[in-house]
Amino acid sequence: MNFLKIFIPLFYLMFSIAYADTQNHVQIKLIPSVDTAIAGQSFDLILEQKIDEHWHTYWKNPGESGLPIQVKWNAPEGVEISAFQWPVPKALDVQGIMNFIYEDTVHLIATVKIPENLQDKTLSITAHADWLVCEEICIPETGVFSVDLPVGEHAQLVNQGIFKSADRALPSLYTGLLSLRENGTHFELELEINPFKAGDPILFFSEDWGLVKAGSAADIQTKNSKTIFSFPRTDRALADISSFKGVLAQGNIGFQINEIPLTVSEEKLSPPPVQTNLWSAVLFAILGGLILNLMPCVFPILSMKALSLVKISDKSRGDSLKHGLSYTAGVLLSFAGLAGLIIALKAGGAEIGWGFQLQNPLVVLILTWVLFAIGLNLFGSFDVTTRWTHIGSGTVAKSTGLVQDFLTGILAVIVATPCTAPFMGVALGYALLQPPSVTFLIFLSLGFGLSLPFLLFSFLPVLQKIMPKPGAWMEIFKQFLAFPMWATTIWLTWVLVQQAGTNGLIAVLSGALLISLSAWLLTHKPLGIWRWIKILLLILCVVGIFKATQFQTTQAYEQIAYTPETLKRELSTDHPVFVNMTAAWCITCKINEVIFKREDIQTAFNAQNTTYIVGDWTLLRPEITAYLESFDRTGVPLYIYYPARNKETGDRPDPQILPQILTPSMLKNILVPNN
Amino acid sequence: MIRLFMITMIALFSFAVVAPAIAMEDSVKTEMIKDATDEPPQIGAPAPHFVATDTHGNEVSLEGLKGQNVVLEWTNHQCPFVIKHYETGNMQSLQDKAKELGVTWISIVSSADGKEGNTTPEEANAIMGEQNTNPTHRILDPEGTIGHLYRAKTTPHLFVIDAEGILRYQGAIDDNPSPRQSAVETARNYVLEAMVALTEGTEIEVTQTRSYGCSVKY
Repeated sequence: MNFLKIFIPLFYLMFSIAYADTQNHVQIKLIPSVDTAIAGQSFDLILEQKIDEHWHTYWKNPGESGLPIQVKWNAPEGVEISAFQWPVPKALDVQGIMNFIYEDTVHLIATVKIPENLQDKTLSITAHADWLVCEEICIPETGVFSVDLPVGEHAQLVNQGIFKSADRALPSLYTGLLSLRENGTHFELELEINPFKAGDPILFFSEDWGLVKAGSAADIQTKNSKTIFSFPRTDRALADISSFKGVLAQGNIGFQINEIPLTVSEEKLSPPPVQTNLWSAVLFAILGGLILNLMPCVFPILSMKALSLVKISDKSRGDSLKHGLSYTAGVLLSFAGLAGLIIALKAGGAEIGWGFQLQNPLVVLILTWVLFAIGLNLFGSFDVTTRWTHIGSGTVAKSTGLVQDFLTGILAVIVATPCTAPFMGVALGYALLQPPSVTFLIFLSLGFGLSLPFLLFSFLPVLQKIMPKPGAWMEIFKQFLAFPMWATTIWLTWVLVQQAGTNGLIAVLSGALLISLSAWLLTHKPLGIWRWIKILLLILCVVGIFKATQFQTTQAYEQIAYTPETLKRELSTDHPVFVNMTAAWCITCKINEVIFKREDIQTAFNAQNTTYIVGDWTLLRPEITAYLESFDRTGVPLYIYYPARNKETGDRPDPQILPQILTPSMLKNILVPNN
Repeated sequence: MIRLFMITMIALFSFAVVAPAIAMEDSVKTEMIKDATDEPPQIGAPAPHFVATDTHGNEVSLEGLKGQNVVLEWTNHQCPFVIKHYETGNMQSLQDKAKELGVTWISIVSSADGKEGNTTPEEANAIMGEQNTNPTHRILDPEGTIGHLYRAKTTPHLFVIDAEGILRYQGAIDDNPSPRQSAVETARNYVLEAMVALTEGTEIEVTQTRSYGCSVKY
């Protein structure tokens, strides 16, 4: 018996020496998660690859060359060994050939299910492995590895450190809503929540080849609060691809995307499915343009023009015709310009439609101010108005009057752009799918519709006769027209806040203040020194308005909104995590946040790759209250710093509570400890 | 005053036009870059044209080979996957079959100077002697010109071109990527299938696979 006890290990030692080829570039070991196998139960088994420096092995889809490890298991009958779970791979570009690889140490995890009726005293599992290891050159290696576990009643978990780190290296399962699309040129993943930080490229490691161009970084778009990751396709037919599964990854953070039905969108290939033909589209466009006149933003402009017609109605028919035509010319030219722009942008690959210009916060900001100023103007707050509407009344030269009609036409289009009228959608939807000539035609029809009422007024003396007699009512009506204008500014401000947050709100309100101040200044004509003060103030207003356009739309650096889940997720990485609990009404918080925006502090954040999580307690949120309470706090600000994981032990040191008033030097010392 | 207002309006409008145009410029740029790189070869489209000198000093032009079916084989005599197919005689018998069917066989080595598989023409001829192989031509492409033209990824990587110069198959030699020599016995040979189908005028069943093996040492 004693002899056997010595002999068996010796035998195994000889056996393993025979197989452990020291020439191999990969050392493989099987590591069980338990010390004893129990019949009817399962345990995990790691296949560990220790890879020589500069060498690599492959993920289950190796990329454009290479080969994943192949394992043939040998185990007692009834023992089931699952397929491996593979950690998130790395993309390696070898002279333009993309490989999905592992370096250093990699753990593949399989689950072993032991049958109820296992009779053996020892459970012996053997892996016959073939693998390819490459540096610049590739070497196929092979080996046989086994693990023996006594079979018993009670088992202890073992090797938990290794299993913990192996689990961390696996992709997490993406559990949010998700849809997959293919449109001939791109494969798109639409995620409800973007799990990544800005910065490093995001790749899709697809399990089958040819679904996406290997190793290509995602083109990221946000649409309706969903994030779309778009990857170029290869020319491999979709029908030949067996699986759309894969890992969406940024660096070593990856999410397992499991099979869900793929939507193949044919929109780019097939002709437009709409039944609309050209003439009905033109009709719809004219009708839409006509109705556009009644939208809150355009209506006042048209009314202004109509009022000016009241004044010219006594004049010759030829004169009023000229006014109508120059207004129409202004409208049509603007629409032609808009059509040209949209065609050019579409040719550049942008997916745009009506109102695309509102996607630019600066355009929204300026449009808001223009509408606000027009509102003031209508209200009579500054005197440009009176002369503006007296076009052609004789105080202004006739030619200037026509130029002004033309410009009013342009203005009408500018203020019309944020609005959409019924019928327009159909016409524009059709226009944007058609060749440029048709797009032009539809846009011009829209413009024609928009200018039609005024044109009719100027054409038909009968209509001019219907207009009520000029009188005091005109001034009252004009003042009333300011309100639809201002209503539109409220809507535009809301759009801007969606785009640019409170910074945008402050910018638009400050600008509005300065515009009304300027308007007030313009109505007064002081003498002497006051005149110069007025001019100085006006200049300051213009400078101020210009300054207001330079608001920051984006956060200086990436911040993640706090939820308990995001914090947990971030803490599962190795990076340091900084939590800032704040509220809009908390002045201390805001003062401290000025420090966060400093360049040296941002550098300090970046230096350690620190994740910055912000919890907004402006409105009561129970999960933030709970977080505050977990640090014995009842209010904000609260700053918590979770240092990086210790590289040796893999443990995260205790979080540090920072004082409520921060200084830059203190913050830097905490963020970059060795400084 | 009116003029000032008008000028502001014009400025605003031109800004509204210019701002998206600036944004547009970027997309145009990427578009141009995309145009600058040629598209990878496609099944059913003309195979990229090339002219080269083989290891015996003969000029080889794909254009000049019209009227014959052609196989391009990327190779590297030091790559284990290539060794598998030559030590088992699998590649040689495929080349013999090509000769029998009147298919021109061109082996191409795109290993750069100093990289694995790079040889002089004399060495290349000696290696062919050792391998007992006799392709119609063997081309050394240390600059990687032909390799990049065809987007050759691995050794081996095979392309089958028909008599009209149309690419008809590209990918692996067979369906078993294992480096074990025993793998060739049971593997389905796609190149053989394609050559036979081309000669018989039948449809090639599998036209594109993922090539396997070592990366081409560009």
